[in-house]
Amino acid sequence: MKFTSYISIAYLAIFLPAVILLYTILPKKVRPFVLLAASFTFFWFISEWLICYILISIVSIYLIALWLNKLKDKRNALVKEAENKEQKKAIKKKSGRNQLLVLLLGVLINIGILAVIKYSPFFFVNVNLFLKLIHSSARVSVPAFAAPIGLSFYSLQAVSYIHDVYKEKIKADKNIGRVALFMSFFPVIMEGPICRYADTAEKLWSGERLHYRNVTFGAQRIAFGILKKIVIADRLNIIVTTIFKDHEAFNYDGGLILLGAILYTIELYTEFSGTIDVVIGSGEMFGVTIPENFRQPFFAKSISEFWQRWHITLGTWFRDYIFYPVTMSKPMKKMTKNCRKKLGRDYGPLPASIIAFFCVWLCNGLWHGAGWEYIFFGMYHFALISLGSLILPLSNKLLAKLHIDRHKLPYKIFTILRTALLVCIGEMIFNSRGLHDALGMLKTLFTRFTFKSIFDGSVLSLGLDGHDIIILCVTLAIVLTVGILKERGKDPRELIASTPIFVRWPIYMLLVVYTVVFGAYGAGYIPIDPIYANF
Amino acid sequence: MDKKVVFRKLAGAAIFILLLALVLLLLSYWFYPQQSEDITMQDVKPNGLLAEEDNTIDVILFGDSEAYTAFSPVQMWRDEGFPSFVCASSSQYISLTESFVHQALEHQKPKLVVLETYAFYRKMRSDNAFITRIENMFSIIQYHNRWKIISPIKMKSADYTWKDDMKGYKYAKMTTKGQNKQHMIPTDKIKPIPETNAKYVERIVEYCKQKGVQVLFISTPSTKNWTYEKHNAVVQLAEKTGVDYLDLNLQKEIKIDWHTDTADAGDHLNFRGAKKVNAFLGKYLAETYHLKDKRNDPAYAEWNALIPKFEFLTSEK
Repeated sequence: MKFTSYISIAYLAIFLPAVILLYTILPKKVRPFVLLAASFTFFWFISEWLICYILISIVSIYLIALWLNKLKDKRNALVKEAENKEQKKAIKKKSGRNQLLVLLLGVLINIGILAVIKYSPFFFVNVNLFLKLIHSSARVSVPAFAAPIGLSFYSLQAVSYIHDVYKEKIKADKNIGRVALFMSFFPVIMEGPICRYADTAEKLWSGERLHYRNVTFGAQRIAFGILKKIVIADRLNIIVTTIFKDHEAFNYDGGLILLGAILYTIELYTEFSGTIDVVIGSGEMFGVTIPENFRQPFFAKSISEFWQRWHITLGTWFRDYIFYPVTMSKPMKKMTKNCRKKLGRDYGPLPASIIAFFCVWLCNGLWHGAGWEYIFFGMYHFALISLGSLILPLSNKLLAKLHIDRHKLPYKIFTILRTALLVCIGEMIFNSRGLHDALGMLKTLFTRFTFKSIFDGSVLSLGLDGHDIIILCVTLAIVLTVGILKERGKDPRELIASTPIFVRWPIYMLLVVYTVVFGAYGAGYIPIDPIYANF
Repeated sequence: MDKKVVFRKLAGAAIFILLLALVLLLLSYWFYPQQSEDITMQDVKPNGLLAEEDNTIDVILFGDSEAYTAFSPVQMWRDEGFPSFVCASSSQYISLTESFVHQALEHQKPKLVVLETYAFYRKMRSDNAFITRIENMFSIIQYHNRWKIISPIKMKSADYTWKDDMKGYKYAKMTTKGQNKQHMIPTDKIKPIPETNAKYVERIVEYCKQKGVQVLFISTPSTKNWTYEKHNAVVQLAEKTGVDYLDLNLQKEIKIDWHTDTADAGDHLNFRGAKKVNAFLGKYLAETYHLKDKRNDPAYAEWNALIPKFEFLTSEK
């Protein structure tokens, strides 16, 4: 059995039902081990011997956390015995330094593995480029590593675990099984969401029995995720690939490039959020609440709001483990204090947060891939967000002068569309074949923008016919409706569940039949590989 | 929880799943192509057979890429005058061969069916077989894309008019030098054919016999894919099923030069290798199976017109 995606017969029709069956028939005490064994089996199917890497990570964070705990216990005991405040302070300071060193060791191991496997080839390629640039004949050999699946995701979970123990948000876990299951739970191992120990570990290990409602609600969420992926994303894949691959050779105009950017963004959203629906639905079946990764991102009114709604768990990870530590560090605090005096209340905190934003967006770009186009992608968002904070006081004044109300619908729609457009351009950079390609597309977008190829029908020659376009529009309307309902705080699944059986059963059946009939699979379609699994 | 409640919920779930399956089965019935011309062979080249007039092809050859690079019907037509067709697709699983054979024999009544033996060794993955079984049951999965062409009242069927000028042969121009070493070293050892695959072959042979069609196993020359161990296994299977077997790797008179006659260093033959094979094979088949020379039959005038095209394609340009 080979898994390439959660949306596959192997996972949905064989693996998941088998795990559910075993989980149900075995006693409560054994159930956590069923999940753990299933997770390791899953990992083995995908990465075989590369499973060693995650084992190293698990053992390392388990030991580091216990070590941190020991240091904390020792400190507490010494503080209790201390005679005066000075002594207590000295003990705390010394222990704090030791704890920090232990934490850094843990970070070094986990981020170190990630860095070596994922970034060293990129680093050495650039060293060679540099050597060529300075006309040196020396070259270093570029190493190649096979990366285990999910490396970028579980490494961040590992760091969050030891950091949270360090910050005393959680206690170090004495049960290595629970740590291992938190790290490797099979639905989240490939594409996230990036979980926190405090959110999932306890529940995962509880071995609670399955509940009918959880299983059916989970199944519904999975079905909707599959619909998004195979009706929309796989269908768009054809035209998107054509536009991004051939735009240079066939000299596509700016209108077609923009269309490609918009369609790619929709493809990415439906592919990633569809897969996450399958992931969260799988977790829900076992009664585990996996954190949400998307909250209707295209209703965002600014880029920073967009990133609070898109790939949420990555954003919050960067916020908690990079942005806060940077802004809260001593030199930054000092700088903010000084700046407040010189620049005033509005602009005072800006320099420190801009530096922190820079770190966050550099890491965000690099996390998505080792390549200059990804760094460019990060910097693009850094520039937009920094610019946004810089001009906010100005734009507030301008809006007041023009008597425009931020809370009125037309202005809201304007900001939503503006944000979506900026996001699409960002994703275009993201999907380019390199920095040069990205810049080329940007240039075309701004210098040769016409709607000619869209209106003269040549867009129909790119792999989608009229039937496909109708199905795309209908399905996007369904996804949009679900999004609007959720935005208004209503759960579509609850709404459907509250209807009588002769209404809800046909709806559920329609969901499956619609996907089976209108899915872009089989002869003539090439399913996309999970986009985020490669990061 | 109350046992009654559990039972009720499980029964509800079971009914739901049964109803859903029923809906999918009904849809499968609706989406299934009504005319057999509509059933495609999932690959462009073998589809060409569906457009050939009924009962006009005397030899149909099945297999994978080894088959479509080695067998050249137009050359055999030019030299011997019997019409043949290669129904091969790359990495063909023997399960697919079986469905190709069924589809092919629906409209053709050949004298001979040839199975290329390398496909006997392509191990089928278990989930593959599982998926195929589900797909066969719910054919909506295979034919779902017909929503674009079916109308609620009358189903429109696709029109198969496209014929393949090379009759299934895929011309390989490239040459990647291989080694002229002896790859068929006599031995008593046997490399067993996977059990499931052997069962499929037996079923195919049985089906052909029922239809009154003779079967022949052929191993095409390949230093990379063929060995004496495999040869021995096919000899056994041929004896068991009562089928003739021709191993071209052992036919010295074909004189394959692995320096010039292979596209990829001994894996597949290129057009030069194929020419040598078909010169031998055409004669062999015509003589052994007493195939009629139809070159002067006006019904096959179209075939004669393909010869110049074939010769141009396979000339040393």
